[in-house]
Amino acid sequence: MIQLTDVSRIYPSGETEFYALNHVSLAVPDGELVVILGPSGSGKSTLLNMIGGIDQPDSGTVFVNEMDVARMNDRALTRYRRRHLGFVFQFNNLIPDLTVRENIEVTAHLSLHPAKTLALLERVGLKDKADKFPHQLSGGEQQRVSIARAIVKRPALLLCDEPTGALDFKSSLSVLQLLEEINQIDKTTVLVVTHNSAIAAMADRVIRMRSGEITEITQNTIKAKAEEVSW
Amino acid sequence: MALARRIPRQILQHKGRFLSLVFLIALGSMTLTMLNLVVDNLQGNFDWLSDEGRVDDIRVWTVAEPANLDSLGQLLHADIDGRTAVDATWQEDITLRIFEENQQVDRPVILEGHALKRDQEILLNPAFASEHNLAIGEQIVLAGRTFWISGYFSLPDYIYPTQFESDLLADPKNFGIAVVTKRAIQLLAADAPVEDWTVDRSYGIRFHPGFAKSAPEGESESNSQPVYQDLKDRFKDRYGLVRWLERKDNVRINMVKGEISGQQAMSQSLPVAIFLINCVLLASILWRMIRLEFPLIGTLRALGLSRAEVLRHYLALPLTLAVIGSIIGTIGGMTTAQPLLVYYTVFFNLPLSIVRFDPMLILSGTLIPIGLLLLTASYVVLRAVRLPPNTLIRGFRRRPKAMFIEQLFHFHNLRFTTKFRARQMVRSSGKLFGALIGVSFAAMMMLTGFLVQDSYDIFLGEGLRNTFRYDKNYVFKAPQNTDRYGGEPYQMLAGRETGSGDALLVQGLVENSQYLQLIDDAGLAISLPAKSKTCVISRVLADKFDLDTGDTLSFIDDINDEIHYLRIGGIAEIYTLNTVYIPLAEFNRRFERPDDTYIGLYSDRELDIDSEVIAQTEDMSEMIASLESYTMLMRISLLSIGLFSSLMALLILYILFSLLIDENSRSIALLKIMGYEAREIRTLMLRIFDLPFLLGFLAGIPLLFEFYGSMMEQAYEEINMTMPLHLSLQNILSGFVILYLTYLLTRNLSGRKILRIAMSDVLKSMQE
Repeated sequence: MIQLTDVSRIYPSGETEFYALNHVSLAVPDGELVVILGPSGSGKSTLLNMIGGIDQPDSGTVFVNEMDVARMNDRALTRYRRRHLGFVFQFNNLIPDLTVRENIEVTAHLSLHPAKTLALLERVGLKDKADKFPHQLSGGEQQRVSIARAIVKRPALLLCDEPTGALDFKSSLSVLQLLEEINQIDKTTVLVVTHNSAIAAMADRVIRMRSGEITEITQNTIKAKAEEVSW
Repeated sequence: MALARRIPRQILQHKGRFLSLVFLIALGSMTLTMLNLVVDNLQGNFDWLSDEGRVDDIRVWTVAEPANLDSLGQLLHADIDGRTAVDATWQEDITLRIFEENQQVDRPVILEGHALKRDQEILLNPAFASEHNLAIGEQIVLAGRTFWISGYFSLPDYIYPTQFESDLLADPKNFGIAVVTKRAIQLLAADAPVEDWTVDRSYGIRFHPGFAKSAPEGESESNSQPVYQDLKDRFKDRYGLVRWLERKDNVRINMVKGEISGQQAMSQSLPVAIFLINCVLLASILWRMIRLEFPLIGTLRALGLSRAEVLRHYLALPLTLAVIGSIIGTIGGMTTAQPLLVYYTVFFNLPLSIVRFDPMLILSGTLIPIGLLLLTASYVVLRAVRLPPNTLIRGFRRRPKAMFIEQLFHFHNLRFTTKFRARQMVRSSGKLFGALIGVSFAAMMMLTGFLVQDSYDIFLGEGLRNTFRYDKNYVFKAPQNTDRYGGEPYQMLAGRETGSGDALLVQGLVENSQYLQLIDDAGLAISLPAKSKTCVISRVLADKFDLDTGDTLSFIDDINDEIHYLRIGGIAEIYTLNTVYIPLAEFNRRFERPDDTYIGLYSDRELDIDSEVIAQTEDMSEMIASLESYTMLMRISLLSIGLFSSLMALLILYILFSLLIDENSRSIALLKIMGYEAREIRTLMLRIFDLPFLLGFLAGIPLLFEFYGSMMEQAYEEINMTMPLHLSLQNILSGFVILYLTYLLTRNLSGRKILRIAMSDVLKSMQE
């Protein structure tokens, strides 16, 4: 369960202040696939970073599975990310001089019970690319490796910041299918930040943001399959 | 851990850059290890020789032979040994100073072969034996007497075996030392008048432990002085004191001590300079890498890697390079230390009985560079790692401060090329600083050879040839007062400066001396009128006690122990001895000697003087010739240092150029797309190092003077010598041309990398 209450994050902007998050409250039950929608600067990535413990609020509380993330010190936050979270970014940020397999192994050792690397690669359809370097893969393949890297630790929560932002339609679909599978088979809670409203169709819950505020939270009564998503 | 597999791949990817850095690290480590081991062993062997040979605390020369040395020794809590020395002519112009074998003080230490067992055996100093191919077991004939060489030796009060104390170099071609038994020396001394040899007898005194040892350097001598004074009075009153030489004033010991001090200074400063350059280069390389990997570091942190884990990962590469470089360097240092040590010990006639490679020194040769480089790397990596993950993920952004500096300069009025280069320079300030210190260091090394060459030219020219114009210098055993030999008379007296107790020599010269021309720093002759009450002092004395014209010099004469005051009328550019010159007549009046008395004669030819009355004969032309041949050898070794410095400059600049091109690959590709030719891009990009190169070279000149000056000061402090540092414009230009050619070569080599930058790759990367 993710529970944010009255969370604000303020950045100085010249002589004034800019509210990246303005008194945001939110609750997400375990096992959901949530899409956070909004234009650039709406605060969606900041919200994701708060939940992921890579940024902390100036006020309000952030609880994830009853852990008070907003009050954690740096060491506790590292431990929290290590044990409970997986992250996927718009740019895959794979290590260029490590192979696909090695890129996954970098995070595998952080977990006490990691998934088997090769099995995971098979699951993301890249078993035959295990010994390739990232520059030998397509953009979609690289993003799938970065998802594999994130889930090898078997996290309870997978946070994805614009995972399809740099991909073409076909590659985007394959990434979305993978995220759907992780959510449904592994029961991992998946939060996807995107400005692509078409992706909202596959979510359990859709959060719309503008200017640091949540403008709408809706629940999809009928969820589309990832493969049906189109734009 | 998977991350560790990056290290070899990263090294292979930029092998030129990293191999250059490893080479530079190895160089620093090698210099540190080699010089430290050499200094440690030189010092160890020097101390061992002093102990083993029971070096004297004082050596005295008397008019009458002291009676009953044993009881005198017991009274003084000291060992006293009398020693006869015969200056024998072995072959034409080759003098062998043969000493009586002593058992208690200044005893010969065997370096090879065995000690004397028979009266027909002789020990030789190794440099002399080597120069004349005299092997152990061979024979040597002196005055018809045959001696078998039983071994090679060193004498603790004659470590550096110069013929005269004023000699700057031991010249084994013309002079050597030997030891024979007491019985043999008596026979040789008996032959002396017939052979025209000179005989000398002196007494070595070594106090028992705890009884008035010579005070250590820099410490008060109050403990030893009363005992010394008492002893001196005793010798003066009873036996007539001719000369009193304390260990701290013995140039044949101090020459070696000075050289060890010089090496010590070198062993500290040279590696430090190389390490400093290494640290700057490593910081540049690492920062470039880290900046590019900001998003990667952020991602790793977001995925749960702790700061410590990321820090450890980014330290692994510098650690690998530092470990490889320093291990190679340490092994190189250990390998080169041995031959260098042998060279030094042969040169200084030091025994090499103990060769000990102190594990701590070896370890420090490896660990110091590793430690320094890790500290530098930690500083660089922490700059990134301390940032929060979300900041890192956004990638490196130039700080507003850097932008602000750029805005301080008004570039808009400049031509495009100048403006572009000026901006590049502001943005690459770290690399420019690296180039500046790298070139300064290379320039210092390169110009060292020229500096030594020019300084020696001045030293030999103004300091020796122009001043000491005689060919022969005869010193009599007793004062003379008749003009029967010809030549130019002079007087001489040993004394010591009142405050420090440092030895000096007072000389009385005739007016307008033909053979000793005193010249000031402007190159003008300094006159010494017969009735002048002022004195002229040597440059080395003036520098040592910070004396100038118009000051008053006070000293105590060694024979009467009276204090004298003399006003300084001039400073002569003499760099070798603490000398005070006064008119001959004034000398005899002041020291209560009969008129026209003299102790020595200068001459431009050989004089017909009975050898029995001569204490020593100095041949100036021989001394200058040996110095010239020595400087020629030195120039060859300095030339190799010059070549070495060029290689260093090449590597340093190569690393910096390659970093610059890497960092600007996007701009370079864009310029290519816009239609710039490679030559034009080279001019825009690579010529930003022109100014730091020039400034670095120019900065190297004063730094060299400062460094070499302080090194010389340490090396020559003990032996009353100074080196006039001089570097001619012609040699500065030569050094500049050599380094500039190296710079151009590196620039052109790096320019080829510009051609290899593919426009498409860069455009693709810009789209990401």
